Amino acid sequence: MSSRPPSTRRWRQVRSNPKIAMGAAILLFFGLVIAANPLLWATVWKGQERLYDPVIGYDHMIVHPSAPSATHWLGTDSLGRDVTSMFTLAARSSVAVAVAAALASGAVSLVLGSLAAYHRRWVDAVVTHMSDAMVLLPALLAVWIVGVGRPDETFGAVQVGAVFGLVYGLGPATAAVRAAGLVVMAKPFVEAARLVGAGGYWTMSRHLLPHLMPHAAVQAMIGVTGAIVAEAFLNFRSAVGGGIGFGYLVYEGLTWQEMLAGLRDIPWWVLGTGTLGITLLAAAFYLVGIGLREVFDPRAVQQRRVVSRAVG
Amino acid sequence: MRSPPDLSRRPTSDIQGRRVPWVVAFLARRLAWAVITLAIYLTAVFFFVQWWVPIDFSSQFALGGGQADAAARFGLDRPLPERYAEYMGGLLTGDLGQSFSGPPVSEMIADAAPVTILVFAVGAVIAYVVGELLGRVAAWRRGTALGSVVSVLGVVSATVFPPFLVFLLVRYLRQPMVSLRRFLGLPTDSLVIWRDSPFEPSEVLGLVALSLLAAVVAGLLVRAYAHRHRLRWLAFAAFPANLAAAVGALFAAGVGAEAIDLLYRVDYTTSIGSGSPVLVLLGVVLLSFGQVLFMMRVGIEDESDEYYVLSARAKGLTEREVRDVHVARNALIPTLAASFLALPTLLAGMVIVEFELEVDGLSSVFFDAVEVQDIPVMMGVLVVLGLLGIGLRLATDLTIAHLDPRQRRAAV
Amino acid sequence: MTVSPVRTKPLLEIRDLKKHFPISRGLFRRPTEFVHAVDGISFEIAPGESLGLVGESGCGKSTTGRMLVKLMEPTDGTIVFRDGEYEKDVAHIGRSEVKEFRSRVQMIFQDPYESMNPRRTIFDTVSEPLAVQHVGTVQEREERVLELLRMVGLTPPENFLFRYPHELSGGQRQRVAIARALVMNPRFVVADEPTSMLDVSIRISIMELMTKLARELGVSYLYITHDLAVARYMCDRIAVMYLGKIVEIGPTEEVLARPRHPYTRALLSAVPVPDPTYRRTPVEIKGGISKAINPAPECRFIERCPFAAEVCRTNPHPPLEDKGDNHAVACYRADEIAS
Repeated sequence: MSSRPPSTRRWRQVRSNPKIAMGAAILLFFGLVIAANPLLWATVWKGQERLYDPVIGYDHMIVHPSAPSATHWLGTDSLGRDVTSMFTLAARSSVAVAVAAALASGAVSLVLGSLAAYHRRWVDAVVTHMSDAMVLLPALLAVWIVGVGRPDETFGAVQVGAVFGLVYGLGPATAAVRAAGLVVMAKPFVEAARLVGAGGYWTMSRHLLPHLMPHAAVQAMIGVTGAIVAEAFLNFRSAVGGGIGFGYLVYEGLTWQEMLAGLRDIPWWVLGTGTLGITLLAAAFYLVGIGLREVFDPRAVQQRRVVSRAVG
Repeated sequence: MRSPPDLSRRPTSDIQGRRVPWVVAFLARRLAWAVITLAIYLTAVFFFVQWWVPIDFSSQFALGGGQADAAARFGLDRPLPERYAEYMGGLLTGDLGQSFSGPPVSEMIADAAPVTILVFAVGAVIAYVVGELLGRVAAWRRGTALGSVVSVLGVVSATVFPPFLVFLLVRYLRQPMVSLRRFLGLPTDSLVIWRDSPFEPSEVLGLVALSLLAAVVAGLLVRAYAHRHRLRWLAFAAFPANLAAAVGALFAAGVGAEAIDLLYRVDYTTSIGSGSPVLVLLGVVLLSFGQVLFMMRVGIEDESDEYYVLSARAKGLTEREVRDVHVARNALIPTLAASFLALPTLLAGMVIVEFELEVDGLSSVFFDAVEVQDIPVMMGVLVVLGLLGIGLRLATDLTIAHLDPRQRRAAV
Repeated sequence: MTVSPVRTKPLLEIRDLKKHFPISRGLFRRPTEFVHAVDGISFEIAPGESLGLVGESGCGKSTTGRMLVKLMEPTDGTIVFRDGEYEKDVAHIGRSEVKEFRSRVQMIFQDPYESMNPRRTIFDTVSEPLAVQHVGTVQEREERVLELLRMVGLTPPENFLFRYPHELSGGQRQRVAIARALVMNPRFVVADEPTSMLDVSIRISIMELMTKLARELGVSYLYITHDLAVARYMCDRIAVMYLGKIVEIGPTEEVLARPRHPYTRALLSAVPVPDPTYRRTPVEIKGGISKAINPAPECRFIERCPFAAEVCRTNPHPPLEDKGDNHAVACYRADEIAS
């Protein structure tokens, strides 16, 4: 998430931040999981659609749901489908939601937040009131309104992410980016640029945007956490399409047996993969988000500088 | 978020403040802001719902050839601006319109909203207090095992899948709750409890919420008192003692069994654990405290570098006094301001938990309405959520202004 | 070095300059209260001359400086700027003309840490005016920047070109700021306390650099400071400001040797003198500085003045009166106090 040209000190802080490192490691893991799907189809599962297909696969040799085994690494669900196959597929759609939501909320908040901070007056008034109002609308409900009743082909993972990102971006993300923008605009180096006759384009592209990118990224990361949960919940309730996602795995795990059944009766390999998928992916973005905030928060940076000046 | 004070415009003397108490002037200004914000919110939501609802409600009558009639009956054939004007006009008189299925929306909302609003408001306050206390620990014990454990808990709280949390709560609270009832000599069956009770569930819920809130507030006050007088044991016992007092008060009032039943329903005729509003409250707290924790932690870490902290230490104050008296109070202000941006996430978590626990609240009204594309009911729920959000925002702003006198005269 | 004020063609001619900030502006209300940050001040600056603007924080000296470079719009008054053929009242120019005006004036900021974008190199920072005004090719800009860096004493300049501000010390940063201010060959530079945030040990070298460059390049300074010793070192003339008004203005040595306004005397009595046998005559002033919110018409200093008399209470704020030697003072009792 570094911006051009990365100040070496900041880059070092980003790299040495344990939260960002942990989040990045988890994301790398999901990257491998996604890549594993086509790889497995090309090698281990080659030509065995009957056994491993995430929708119609069924293993006639065993009773379902079955615990992890050599044939089914993560076991099978109640309908006899291979969980590894479903999990690797679900990872792809959840990551697609995350990326779409991050891009949508990042773009919206960056554009509106920087315009409001730069122009002040009526532009700021409009943007601020709009974001104050949009904070009141939970993006989950917006996604639900738009999504329920639409088929999966027209409203899949990317669309869920985009709608979520848009609503989140217009609300909390824009409010936060604008606030950071006001701090940047109050810096003397912005005045120095105005002083030499710099116009809106120059000031925004050279001074404002480079400083706001990390803030928009932080907001996008934290928002993505919500988007992943929202998509999983839609998927869990089969509200959208009913395609295979982490939410569906959780649903499968929970509804196979009555909730009252003993732990051994719950296909925990189904429930666990779904739950861990959601929480790990959400946690990865959340960790990167709060890590970036630690590195780039203007207040924190300012304080560190004050102290280092006092010491050195 | 409020803009940082523009130094060139910051007045130094409270000329207006001298005439009226600042609360009045502040509230008057914020109310004007709230009305404008609500109007924008309602407009945005109205057009969002009208444009984006995927299926025309009247289309289900197409088979019988009555689609045009149905559209006219539900007002779906008239131009959007006209419908908008009519809807907003109705809102001004408190009229939320008619559900497509017949009853007035306001009736459906009036039945469902109190539970949701009460549970969310109290849950948000408790989540805030818990998150704030743990945030202090995480910031101050940074690098220690305790600090790490608290941080991991925070991440889990912020990212756990709500239906899974509900599953865990329902499943693993059952046996202890049944044992507790047996231990107290109470009937284990919910139906028996309510059959013999002179109270309505909503009345008991109100009592439970109020006593919990009172316990938290009293706990905070006792803690503050204990710290001032350096009574460590009292500070430690503040919250448990007050919670125990609240529970004791509920039993003394004769609603102990009912209160326990609202926390966890053991009902042998319907699905287990459903309809337990206090459990929703617990879920909201568990889902929300993580976000507050991290905001507080960032706030404290920022403040810890300030010079006044150095001077407080130099005065010989203990670390706890530095943390609680000096740093935490200042860190509270940005945390409160930031926590409002987390409102939609918290509301979403609440809605999911409430829906999964099958409590008759706004969530089920909303999700049922979405299933059948009942636009007026969807709108009604969103209106109530908007009002709830604005109310919480005003309360937050008032608290910030109380903590930070500079904010009292800040521009809208 | 000393240039006596030229009556004929000053570089800057400020007349009755005012800046009022509205306070307590409601949503639908017109503002009724104003902070009179700068309240009708007039002075001139000759080409090559540096004028020190001295006063406590909050007296309006920074506001004045910002109005002169059009970072703020004056509420009222005129600022006539002359540079060869160029002669305009820059208080009343439009957007298109501001850009042209800005190639002739510059400002050096107080905080060398905040006045440079931490994500841009020294080359980016110093060449920013050239890039914004589309002067020269990248090659030419680089040569110009190298020349400037050499001039401000950052040698060898090649070593500094592509470093970031945080890699430099406070003094080095302020040298970069000076280079940025001078890169367009301005005639007039506002320096807003450029040394107040630096270590005392490097202040002198920065001030020496500024005076040297002013002499070589023929630049005029408006030097804003609260430190009379700095003003004495840097400036040909001094103007003392109090609550939005100039209370005394004149040649530096004249003002410092024979202060006529009670406020200037108080300021001077607060300057430490490195002579243990020196016994000063204390001038007591009461209270602290306040803000001029819709100020009363009488003398601004009256609340704190030890010499306040009936004449001060019944008359409006005294006008600046020339007492000879280009030394003007705004006080009804100046003659009595001086004697």
